[in-house]
Amino acid sequence: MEKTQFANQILTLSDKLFRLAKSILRNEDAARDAVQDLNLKLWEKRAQLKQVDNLPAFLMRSMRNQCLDVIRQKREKNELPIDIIYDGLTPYQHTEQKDMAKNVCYMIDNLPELQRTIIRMRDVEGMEMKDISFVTGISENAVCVNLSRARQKIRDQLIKESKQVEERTWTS
Amino acid sequence: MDIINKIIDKYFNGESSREEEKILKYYFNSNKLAPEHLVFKPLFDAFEIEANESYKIKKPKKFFIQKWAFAGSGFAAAVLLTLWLFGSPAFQGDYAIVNGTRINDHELAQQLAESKMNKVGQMLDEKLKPLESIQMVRNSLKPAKKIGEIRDEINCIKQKLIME
Repeated sequence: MEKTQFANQILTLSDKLFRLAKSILRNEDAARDAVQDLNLKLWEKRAQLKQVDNLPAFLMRSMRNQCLDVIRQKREKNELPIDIIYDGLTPYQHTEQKDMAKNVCYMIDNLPELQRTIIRMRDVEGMEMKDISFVTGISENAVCVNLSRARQKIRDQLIKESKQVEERTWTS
Repeated sequence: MDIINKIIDKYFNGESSREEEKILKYYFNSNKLAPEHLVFKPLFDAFEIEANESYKIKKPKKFFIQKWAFAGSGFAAAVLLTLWLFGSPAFQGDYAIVNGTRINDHELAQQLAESKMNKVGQMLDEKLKPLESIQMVRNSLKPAKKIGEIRDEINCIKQKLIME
C-alpha cells in the first residue's frame, strides 16, 4: 500500500477510530494515543492490508482490540482506571442545566463496554449489524440483544429523569 | 404517528433497520415532534453531537526543549541562591546570620557556609542530570558519525582504482 493509498483509505477513518477509542477508553488523550499507535502499526504492516476485504470493519476491530489491551495493561499495572473527568454533577443536575444531549453521552459512557461500543457503532457511525458482529466478535443475534439492552437502559433513564423534572416543576 | 410509534418500539427492541433509523433521526431533528416523543429527543441529539466529533493529531511532545528549560531554570535557581548567600548581609566576612541569629564563631560560620555550598552543588548535580544524559546519547552516536568518513574514504579508493 502506497503513501497516498494509506492516507485515502486509512487516515480518512481516523475520526471513526477516535470516536470508538474514546467510547471504550472514556478518555480523550488516551484515545488519541491509541489512534496514533494503531496508525503506526498499520503503516508498518501496510503491505498486508491489501489482503483485507472489509478495511473499515477490520480497522474498527483492530482499534477495539488495541483499546481493550490498553485497559488490560492498566489493570495489570494496578494503575488507576482511566476515566473521563466529569464535572461532578449528577445526571439530574445536568438535566436541569438544559444540557440534555451531554447527559445522554454521560449515560452511554456509563453502560458496560460492549453495550456502549455497540450502541455507538450503530447509532453514531451507522454501521451494519454484520460489521458490528465482526468488530465485536459476537453473533449478530447477540449484537441485537446488547443493542436493545443499551437503548432500553437509556430510554428508562430518560423517562425517569423526565418524570423527576416534572415532579420538581409541580412542587416548586 | 402510528408508524413513528412502531419504529420507536422496534428501535428500542434492537429490531429496526438502517432505513427506519434514518427516518427516526430525520423525525427527531425536525421541529414537528409529538409531545410524547420529546423525551427521546436528547438521545438523537447526542448521537448527532458525537458523530461530529473529529480526531485531531497530537502534537509531538517537546522533550528536549522541556529538559533544557528544566536544566536552565535549575541553574538559574542555583546562581540566585549563591548570590543571595554571598550578596546579602546574612553572610558578611567572619559571621553568619542563621534564622535571624548572628553567629560570630568563625569556624561555625564557615561550616554553615560550606553546608549551604554543598546543597547548591547537590542541586546543580540534580539539575544537570538531563544534560549529562544528552551528552551520553551524543557520545554513543559518535561511532555512527565515522560511517560517513569511512564511506568517503571508500569512494576515494574506488576513484583511484578506476583512474589506474
